[in-house]
Amino acid sequence: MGAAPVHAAADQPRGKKAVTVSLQKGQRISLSKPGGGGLTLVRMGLGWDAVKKKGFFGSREQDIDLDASVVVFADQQVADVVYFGQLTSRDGSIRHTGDNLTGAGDGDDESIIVDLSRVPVHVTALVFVVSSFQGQTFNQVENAFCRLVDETTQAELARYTLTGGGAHTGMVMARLYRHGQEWKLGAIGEPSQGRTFQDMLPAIAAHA
Amino acid sequence: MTALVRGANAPLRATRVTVTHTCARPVDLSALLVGRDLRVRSDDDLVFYNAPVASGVRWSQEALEIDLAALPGDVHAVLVAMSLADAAPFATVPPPTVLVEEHTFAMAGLAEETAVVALELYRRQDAWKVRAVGQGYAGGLAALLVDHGVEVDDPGPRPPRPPRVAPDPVPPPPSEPAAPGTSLPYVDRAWMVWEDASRSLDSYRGSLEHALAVRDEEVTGRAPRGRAQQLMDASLERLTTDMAQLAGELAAHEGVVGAEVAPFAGPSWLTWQPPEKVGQGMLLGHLDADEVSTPRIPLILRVPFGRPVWLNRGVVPRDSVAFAWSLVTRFLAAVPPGAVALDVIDPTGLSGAGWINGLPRPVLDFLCGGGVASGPQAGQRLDRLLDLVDLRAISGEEDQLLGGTPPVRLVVVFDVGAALDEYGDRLMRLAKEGPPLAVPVICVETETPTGESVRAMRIKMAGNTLPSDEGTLSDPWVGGTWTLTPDLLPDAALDRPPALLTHVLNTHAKVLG
Repeated sequence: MGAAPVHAAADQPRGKKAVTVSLQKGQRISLSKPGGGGLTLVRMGLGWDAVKKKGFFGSREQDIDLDASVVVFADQQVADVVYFGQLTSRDGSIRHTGDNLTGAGDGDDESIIVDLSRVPVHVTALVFVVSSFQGQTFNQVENAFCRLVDETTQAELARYTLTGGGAHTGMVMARLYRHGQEWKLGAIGEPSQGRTFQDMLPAIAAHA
Repeated sequence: MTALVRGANAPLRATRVTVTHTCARPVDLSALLVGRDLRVRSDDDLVFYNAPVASGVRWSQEALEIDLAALPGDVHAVLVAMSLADAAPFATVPPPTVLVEEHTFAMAGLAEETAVVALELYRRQDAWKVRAVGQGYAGGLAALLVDHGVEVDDPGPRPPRPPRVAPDPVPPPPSEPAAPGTSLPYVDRAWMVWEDASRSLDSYRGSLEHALAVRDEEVTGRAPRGRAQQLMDASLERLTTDMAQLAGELAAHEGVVGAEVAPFAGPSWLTWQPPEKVGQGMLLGHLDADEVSTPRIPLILRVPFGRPVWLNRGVVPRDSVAFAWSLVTRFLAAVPPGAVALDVIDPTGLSGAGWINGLPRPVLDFLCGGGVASGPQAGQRLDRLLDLVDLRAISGEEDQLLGGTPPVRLVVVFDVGAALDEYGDRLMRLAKEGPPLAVPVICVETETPTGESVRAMRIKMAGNTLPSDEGTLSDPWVGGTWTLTPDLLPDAALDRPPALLTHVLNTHAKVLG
């Protein structure tokens, strides 16, 4: 140790990186891992930074409250919704870990976990949505992102940066849909306007 | 050797330094070449197990060798990170330590973190210095890297998330989840089985309904045939699998649970002994779903219960009386002798509780408040109980004040309709305020119907309403319809003291001497 020269070759081949799938908008990939069995647990994560309070009385700015929601479709009909007002789907397969009203905390501030093996057989698609409850646009929110993670392998399946994404208050993020026996992911990333998922239902239903 | 404290810095003597570490569990070292903003210029500035070499830095499992003179000019600092190889946090190991030249830095106080920026080697004019950083990251190496501008594809292992979020508030709520690592208490298991069964059934019904709509489309030729049948088959298969699994979970407990949560007909009652501490709960009966076959799910109420229990009148008034005595028996069986006394209030004296007054004197006086309170005594008994509740509400010293009254007072109000007519406000207050203060109340609807009574409605809303015959109730998760078959003492509806209840009362009295 110590004596060996440590000037590195810049073109040193990098080590292997974990297999991930970076989704371009509209691209579709199968979530069945080769030889690894199908996808069972998927988590939607949504993160952003809280408004920094300034001055003695704090900032007059309103807290930023982004919300993650999942709309459940059976064919073209809404069968169920998981959002801050209903944290668990009726069948129990989709669970929201709770509403974060300010963005305080690191990493994912809101999560929705989907157990695909428990989703009722008649459900054909799950559409993941982000909305800004207090109406601030994504341009006004620091470090906002949303992502889909395979909870079994922790591989990130899709990720969108919301900050700087324009003067929108909502985004239809992605959909998981049945294709034969397996679930597939379709990235959508379509900006929208809406403080809750209800406001965005027409845009959401277009992806059912 | 000199020990650095968090935030301290010291000059480095050599331009080639080696950073090593000690930790009780396997850790990985990483180095980040960063600019003044403490962010990497590109992903190539990360040196770790998957990329062991960069300009000026060489990685090995044991050490980082850093040639400070060979670092690119725009690298302002090298951050040395340490991350645990498995998911357990630093809280589980003694403080990890890093060493560089004669400096050591022991990072005390780490808790949930699984990665930490240990050191910063930084330029200071033309020399290099080392700073003890010790900044932990609960999000692990991935979070640490992301924070310094590395684009991470794989967020790395995380501690497993809890499988369930807190359930929506439901009456009656299963409280106090089991401590991690212990096997689930039967009460929790029974409630989870009911929730799972309710959700599975709801899912099945949803699928079936959708399948019928699809079939309509198929019949009219608007959709190709086959999918409706497929949906029906698949949903039934799912339901059958789920119910078999739930039945298995319940069966694993059968025969090994205490009497208070076992059917009266079960073997547990043959060997009942007064418990030393309060049992888990009391079995109310078994639940069956309409239309489909499910396991018979035990409905168990925790003891002591924090909300009033209301027993609806059955087909005949005796149904609710029999249910009440059955619950009293279970309650007494679940609580250690000396910890509980029974107050029976029967304003009209028509509910067949008179046999209580025939119990031996010591049993009657110490366990039953002197006997059944009827007529004017009913009001007096309510007043005494309310005094107790008020004392408990303002102080925890009620035992001294009341001369050693057993801490739990189980109150049974027969013919609650008549009682409400006579003592409405007092009874309402006792029903609402008593249960949280160890004065659980069971309201029994017998002769006098309470159909239109607002007060009755208020008590029902505050508590748990149970049917006394084979009546229906809704599950608290999806509002599905279930039939509750109460588990009853075999002789509770007869005109004589129920044998098992008398036995439990006598046993309590005997233990108390």
